[in-house]
Amino acid sequence: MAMTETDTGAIDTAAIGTGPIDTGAINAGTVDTGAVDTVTTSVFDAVVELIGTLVGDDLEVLGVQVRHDTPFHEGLGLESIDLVTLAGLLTRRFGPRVNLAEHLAELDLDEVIGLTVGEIADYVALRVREG
Amino acid sequence: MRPSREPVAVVGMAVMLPGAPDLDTYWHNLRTGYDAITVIPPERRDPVFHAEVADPHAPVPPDRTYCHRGGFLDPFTVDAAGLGIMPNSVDSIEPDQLLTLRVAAAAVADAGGLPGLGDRARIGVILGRGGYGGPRMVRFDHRVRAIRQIVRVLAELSPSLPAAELARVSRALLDPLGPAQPGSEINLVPNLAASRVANRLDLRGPAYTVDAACASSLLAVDQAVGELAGHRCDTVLAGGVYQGHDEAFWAVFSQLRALSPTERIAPLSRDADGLLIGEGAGFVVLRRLADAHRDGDRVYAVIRGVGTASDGRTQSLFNPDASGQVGALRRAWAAAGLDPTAADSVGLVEAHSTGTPVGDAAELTALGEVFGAPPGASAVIGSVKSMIGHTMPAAGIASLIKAALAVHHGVLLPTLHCADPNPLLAATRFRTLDAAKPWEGVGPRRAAVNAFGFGGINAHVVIEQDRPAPPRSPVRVAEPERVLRLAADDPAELSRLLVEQPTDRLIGRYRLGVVDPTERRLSVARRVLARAGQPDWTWGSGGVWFTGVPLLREPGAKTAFVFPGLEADFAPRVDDVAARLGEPPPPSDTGTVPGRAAAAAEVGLLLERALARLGVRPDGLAGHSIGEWTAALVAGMYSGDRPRIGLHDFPLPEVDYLALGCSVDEAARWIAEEPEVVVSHDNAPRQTVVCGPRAAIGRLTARIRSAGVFARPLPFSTGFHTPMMAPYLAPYLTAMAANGARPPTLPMWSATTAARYPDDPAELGALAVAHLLRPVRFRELVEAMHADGYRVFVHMGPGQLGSFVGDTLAGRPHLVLNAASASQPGLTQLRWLATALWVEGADPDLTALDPVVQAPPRSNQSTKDSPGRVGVPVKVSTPVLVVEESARGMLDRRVPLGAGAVPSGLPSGLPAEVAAELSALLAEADAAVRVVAAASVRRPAAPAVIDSPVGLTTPIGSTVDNPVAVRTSVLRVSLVDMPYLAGHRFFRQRADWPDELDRRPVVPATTLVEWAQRAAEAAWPGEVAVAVRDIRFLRWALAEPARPLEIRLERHAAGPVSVQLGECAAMTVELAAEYPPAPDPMSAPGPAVGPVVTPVQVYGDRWMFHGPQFQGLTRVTAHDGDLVSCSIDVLPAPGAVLDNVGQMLACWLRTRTEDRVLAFPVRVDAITFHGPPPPVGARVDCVAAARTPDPTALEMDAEVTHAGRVWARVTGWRDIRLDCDRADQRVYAFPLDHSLSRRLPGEWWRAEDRWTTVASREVFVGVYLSATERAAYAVVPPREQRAWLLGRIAVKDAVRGWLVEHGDERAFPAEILVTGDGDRLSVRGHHGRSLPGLRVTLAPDRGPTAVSARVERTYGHD
Repeated sequence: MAMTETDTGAIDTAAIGTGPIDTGAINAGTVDTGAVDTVTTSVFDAVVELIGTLVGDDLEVLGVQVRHDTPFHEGLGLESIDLVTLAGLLTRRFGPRVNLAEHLAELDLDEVIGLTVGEIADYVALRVREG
Repeated sequence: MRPSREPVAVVGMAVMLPGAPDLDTYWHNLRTGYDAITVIPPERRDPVFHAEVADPHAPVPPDRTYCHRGGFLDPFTVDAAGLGIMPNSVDSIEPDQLLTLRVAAAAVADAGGLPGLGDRARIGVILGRGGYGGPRMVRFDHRVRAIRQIVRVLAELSPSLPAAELARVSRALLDPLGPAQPGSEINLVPNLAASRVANRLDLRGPAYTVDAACASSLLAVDQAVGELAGHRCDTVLAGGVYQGHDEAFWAVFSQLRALSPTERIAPLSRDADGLLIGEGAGFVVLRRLADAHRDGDRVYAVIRGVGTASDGRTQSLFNPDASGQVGALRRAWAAAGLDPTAADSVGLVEAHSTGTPVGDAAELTALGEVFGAPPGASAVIGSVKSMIGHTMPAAGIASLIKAALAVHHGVLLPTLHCADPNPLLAATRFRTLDAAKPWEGVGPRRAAVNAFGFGGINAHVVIEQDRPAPPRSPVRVAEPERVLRLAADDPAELSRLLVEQPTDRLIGRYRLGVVDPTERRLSVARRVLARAGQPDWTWGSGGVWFTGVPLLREPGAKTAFVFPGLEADFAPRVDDVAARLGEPPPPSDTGTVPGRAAAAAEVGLLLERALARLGVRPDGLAGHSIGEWTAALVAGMYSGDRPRIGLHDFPLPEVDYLALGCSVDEAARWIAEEPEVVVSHDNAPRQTVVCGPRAAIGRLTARIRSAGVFARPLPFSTGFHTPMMAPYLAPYLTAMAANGARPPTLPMWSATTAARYPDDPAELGALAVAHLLRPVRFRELVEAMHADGYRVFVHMGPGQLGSFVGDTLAGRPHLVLNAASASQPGLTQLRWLATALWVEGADPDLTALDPVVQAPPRSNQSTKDSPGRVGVPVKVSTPVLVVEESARGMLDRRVPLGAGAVPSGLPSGLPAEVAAELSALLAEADAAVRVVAAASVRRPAAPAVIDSPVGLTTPIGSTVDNPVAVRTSVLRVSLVDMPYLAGHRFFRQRADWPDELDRRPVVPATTLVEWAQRAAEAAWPGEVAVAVRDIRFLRWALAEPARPLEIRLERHAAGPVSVQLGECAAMTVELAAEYPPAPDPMSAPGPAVGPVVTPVQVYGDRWMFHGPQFQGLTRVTAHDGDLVSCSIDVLPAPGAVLDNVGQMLACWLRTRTEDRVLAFPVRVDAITFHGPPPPVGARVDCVAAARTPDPTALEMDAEVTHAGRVWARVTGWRDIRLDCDRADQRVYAFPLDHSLSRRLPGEWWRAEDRWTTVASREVFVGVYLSATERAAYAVVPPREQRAWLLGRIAVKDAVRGWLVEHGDERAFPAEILVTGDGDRLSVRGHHGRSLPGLRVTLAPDRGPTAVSARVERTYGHD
């Protein structure tokens, strides 16, 4: 991997299970799928898979499991600049109706920085359902 | 060749030198070429010795100098409490001892503290110090000798001066020297400068001073090296000190014509014409190099060899001789085992050069002879004396520390005032520099230092860069977070160590670093190592770092510091870092452009200092956007402070930025349809910023987002880096010009050109313009720096900038480290950074920012005082023999009336403040006498009104109407014209208090009487004043500011003369051809009742406020029947004898009562005279019958006899008495030492109203308030005045109490300026007094008759 991410201890916080945002309302991880529909589940898996291409096998080394409430920046060590790549990957996979750039434009900067994998997946699932 | 002596390491350093209170500032000044030479500060400048001379090239007598500039230390303090010195003894210790102690403690702290320096029994202190006397010795000499001799000479010059008068002179001269502290004379012994260090730091090796004139410091170093080489010491503090700027010392150099007549010190320059004197101190902490390496000490430089030699028998003891210098140089190089003639023998020579033509010629000859000029040999020569002056015995240490810093940092340093170098340099290998530049080249950086002393004593030191130290073992354990560092030569061994032996092991190519190695992190580390066999596998995440290819071990690999510009969300956690460095927290981002700029810059500078502490230093610097300005500051391109460019009052265009999630090429396509929009920042492959008018940016945003591309407006609008800035450039360029850009001292990179900064000043100016107008090419810059070998990029802030570097260099070997984080504490972040750097092959000091477990002795590493404690200021000026203002003119001859008078003219009207002053103080007395004054209107003519020009146009002697004659004259009343009035001032203030109004000098009532008599006698020549009747004192006649006093005389035929003295007094003077015969004296009073009051009590204890000009009472005796008697020495001041009679009455009152002891005359019924005034110096006697008809009045009838004959009789003298008990009187008499407020528990100070009349209160208005505050008081509604005043008194007393408590100098109440209103009062020092930051609190339960206050220290803006 490129040695670029050394700035925060955030991966530790993710690993011990407390993301910076209280995500109780959307608290569904890969293990706990009973309460969510299959579109969401499959979209979540797809988003995790795409993120995996960004992060490489770092997650395995770190022993981090990507959950619904894993923060994109603090939990995965990804930078906001990496959202550019993720947006491209999502559009390629789900079509132009998934426009992460437009979606995130409505959030303020704090919210973007605190974005979780689940929030991205939920947006994608919504757009896919609205189809 | 091999070194013949064991090399010695410089492991700690400290200085206090002109312009440089600490080592960091010294380094900054050296790099930037800071000229610390100034005119001699006023408090150290004797106006006669330093009077301007017509021709500085002509000889001057020994009591003059032709030179007035030099290097002067800023005022400094010592942390007396921390260093175990009684605060009140600071004033008795020679300042050079305190300076030495402070700098020695700082050097020890710089070396890591005493615990790391080994056995205290083997730590020595060797100090270069000349045998010159300091200011405390001069003061003692005044006491011992000078005053005695002055008094004796006075007696010889004026044999009629009575002994009492001479005693007063002696007292007046001794007073300003302050109280003697018997026993403190031990503090004058010169060698205590070294002993005090050993004593306070508890060092038990040898401690002594050496004197080899200007070579002293290097002789101290020579001795220290010998102590270490001989293993008699393990650590030696070696240094030098010179403090004082004593006039005798300057006179010696003036007489020798060694001082520069052009008042410029230009060493090594063709036009060098003499030296300027500097002062200061420096210390190096020396240890054997092997010990330093063993203990992991930071090594600034290694001393390879020291050589010393004397000139022997040469032509002159005082002219430098090249042959002796050659001897010292050759010995040093031989000791180093090095050949000075080798082409690469030396990179920098710090010359002794003092800027005298003879000295420079000898030195350059010696250098040429020893080093030669072989082909290809080139070295830099310099002299720090061009910046700080010649610091005499401290010169060698200032030079050595300069050279060690240059070697350590790899920077060659400039010399000032050397545009046209000495032609002798041409034949040598040496050249001077006018700006710092990187020290390039192979091999260890090596420097040499000269110091030569009067008398032909020469010393030379050879130092060089430390070679890479072997790894440290055992490694100090870092608290609070442990860092595990493991190294091995193959990954399998590393894995084995991690599992079996997880303790630090530092040798090997494969490196693993784990911060806070918890079990979870260790398991991450094991997984990392499990993949170590994969090609190019490295790791740097989650507190774990690993590599098998340390980036910084690659040849030519470099580290860059990159400073951020404006950031959208700038919230680094760095306050803990600032606190650990002992600094206030940097400003936080306020959301405004200036706030964001200040926060980014200050955080960047803080991090730079923190990283320096860790031993992390950049090979090059860059910045993003206006972060380049921060980088430029670190590169030494600007003198002074951070450029405040772009802050308040700097105009900006109204345009918006839009950050796009795409490359610059794609961005260019997007903006093609918006001609007003331009690219402003090419940040990274995935980020570009564009800029344009708001409407255009709005259209663009919608269009780009709908295409699925990120587009986010930035939350600030500046327009920097676009052509839209063009109309607004002027103020920026002006500010930059004011900052005086110089070429950088470290490689500095521009994002405008994506290349190194130029050195040429003109090109620098052009680049500054382009930086504001042209885009930030950050991505290309990163590419260029990577191509130049930069592998490690330290981002000097939190936030996104690091990810731009990472994005640009993706897939290529590099490391980005953020020096701050928004999410974890700053110290933790720095620990991560240091660990990562170690893994990549650097050698940072991981423990440098750990809390100090065993506190080293308190040190003053900088001008900042330790929180909660105020340093005690050290007075450095040499005491001058002076008398206090109150004593000036005490031997003046009587000032004849009219001598100071001006012809009657058109004086301007009374200023408003004069009128206000006139009504002050005795408002009540005024009311009391108004009745009497009204009664006096029965006199034939109404009193003249001073501001009516009609009355004043009358020339002296003109007759308006016969038989009524009116004579008018105007007397100019001022302290300048009547210096004796300085002896009649109501309130005491600090000796150099500038506002005379705050002392309230007034004309004594009896002086007004005498003026009236003399005016009448002058108007009607041939007659003498034989009686004065119906004397009414109406208002105070203030003597400051100077003012005219109209004396109006009106006489009916040959009758009595009505005299009106302005609005101050009215009386009737009887004239006659001769004095009436003297009556028989009253019979002698009976036996004394109670003790005789002596002058010591009257004046020493300040029963009376009078100064020497009115201190005529010799003894006062109370007798039966309310009689009182005294003797009076006749002093020259007009009215002095009768004033003394009044003093006698007040003294009698004090022996009779505890209360209402302040008394002032308001009227006298009659004074008759039976002879001319007794001659000055005579002694007269006085007997009076005193009475106190009511508690507010004091009266007497008195008789004054001279030589047994009645001279004057006084009847119906009446004083008004004011509320003032003995305690209050002490405050009035000694305001410095007493306070009206009482101290309560909890450090509250409570001021209570004890005054029954306004007039009494007004006395303490005068004691407590300065003119500024009295002006504020005057407009407070009368009903609120009391509480207002009590609040001020309580606050001032609380501050004064705090100062005493903290060992600070005591303050007069007026020195504490209280401002604000209501609850919100704040305090600051007044008229030159400085106060620490103090916050005032008023107690909530205050009332109209009592107010309590307390103060506490505030931090952060001392």
